[in-house]
Amino acid sequence: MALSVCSATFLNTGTINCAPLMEYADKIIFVPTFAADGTRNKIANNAIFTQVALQALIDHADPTKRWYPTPQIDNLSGERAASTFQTGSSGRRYKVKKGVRSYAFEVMNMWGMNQAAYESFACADMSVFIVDSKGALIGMDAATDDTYRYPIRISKDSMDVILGMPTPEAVVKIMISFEFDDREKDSLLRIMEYVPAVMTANVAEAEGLDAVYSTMISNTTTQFVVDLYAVHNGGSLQKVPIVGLLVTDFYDVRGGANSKAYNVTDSSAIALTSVTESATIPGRYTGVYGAQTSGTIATADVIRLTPVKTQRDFTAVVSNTMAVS
Amino acid sequence: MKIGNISFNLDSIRGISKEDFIQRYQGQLDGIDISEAYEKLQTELNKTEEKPEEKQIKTPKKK
Repeated sequence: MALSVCSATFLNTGTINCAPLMEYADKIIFVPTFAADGTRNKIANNAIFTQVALQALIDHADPTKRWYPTPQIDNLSGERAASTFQTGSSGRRYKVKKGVRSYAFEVMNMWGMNQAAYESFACADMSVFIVDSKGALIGMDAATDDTYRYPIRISKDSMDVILGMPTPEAVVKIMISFEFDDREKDSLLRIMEYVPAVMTANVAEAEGLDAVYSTMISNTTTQFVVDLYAVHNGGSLQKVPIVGLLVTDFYDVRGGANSKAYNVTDSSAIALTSVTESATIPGRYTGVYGAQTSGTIATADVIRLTPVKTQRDFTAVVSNTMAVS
Repeated sequence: MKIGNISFNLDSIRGISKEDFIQRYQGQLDGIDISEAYEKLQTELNKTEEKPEEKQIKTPKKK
């Protein structure tokens, strides 16, 4: 009797001493499955995953390549439903398919705008890395190649985000659930331990970006005055000022030269001489334009600010241009 | 460099006179006297000023 195809590739069952174990999940990192350029998001598995590399992914300018970590999670469940079998009239059973793995967890003391953030993932092709209680990163290997570690694909449209209202016995929370894509095999789950030889990135402490907004107070041919702030569920009357920016945090364009603004009308960078952080109004900055190497700043010219700072998303600030008056 | 609550672009502010500096930043600077801030800025600008390479004069060894 000939061997069947699958039985011809038996794998060995030996166990290596001290092999790392996956612990319970303490944090989830959402990652778009595909970037806008069509490539699948992944990290190299043949080099140490460093803190710099992690921060670059969290701060990534392209939202389709960015990592979106949750805070610590709680009340996790991740059961796989029983496999489906057909039972013949003989009484013998035949496996039809494996059950789907459901994943559910809660994020405590989060609501409103936080819920909106997770709901924004629900209709996209999203994947997740799991961060376990020992700070290890768990993802998938491809079946034929372990050069890269991939986030675990979520079954599209399976994600649900529900607000858990506070009660006298319970805090407000967001309850998130989804199913793993049924192409993801449990046997391809792999771990990157938080040890110097493998991963120096502290993924357990990873935090998502804060969105920053701006209000242009004034903009003349010599200087701009702008308020930079984040917002929370308290609304616009409880803005959170963004403090601590320096002149070197302002760029003509992301990835360009620092200590600059940008004249959209003239398509030219503008040198900044200084940036003053107000001593009386937190989050208010006055930028002084210096002598320009090309062009001038004229009335009605549209000026764009591009601050860049780790853990901040200034996309809305970049969009909020203002004409010189 | 940062002095008080103001961060300066040294390349752009190089050459500013004390009068212009006081006129521009009077009332904005916090935590430091404006004249002291100007002196501090000048010290930093002098440090970063490009210095011509000193010529190495070799004296021939006596035989």
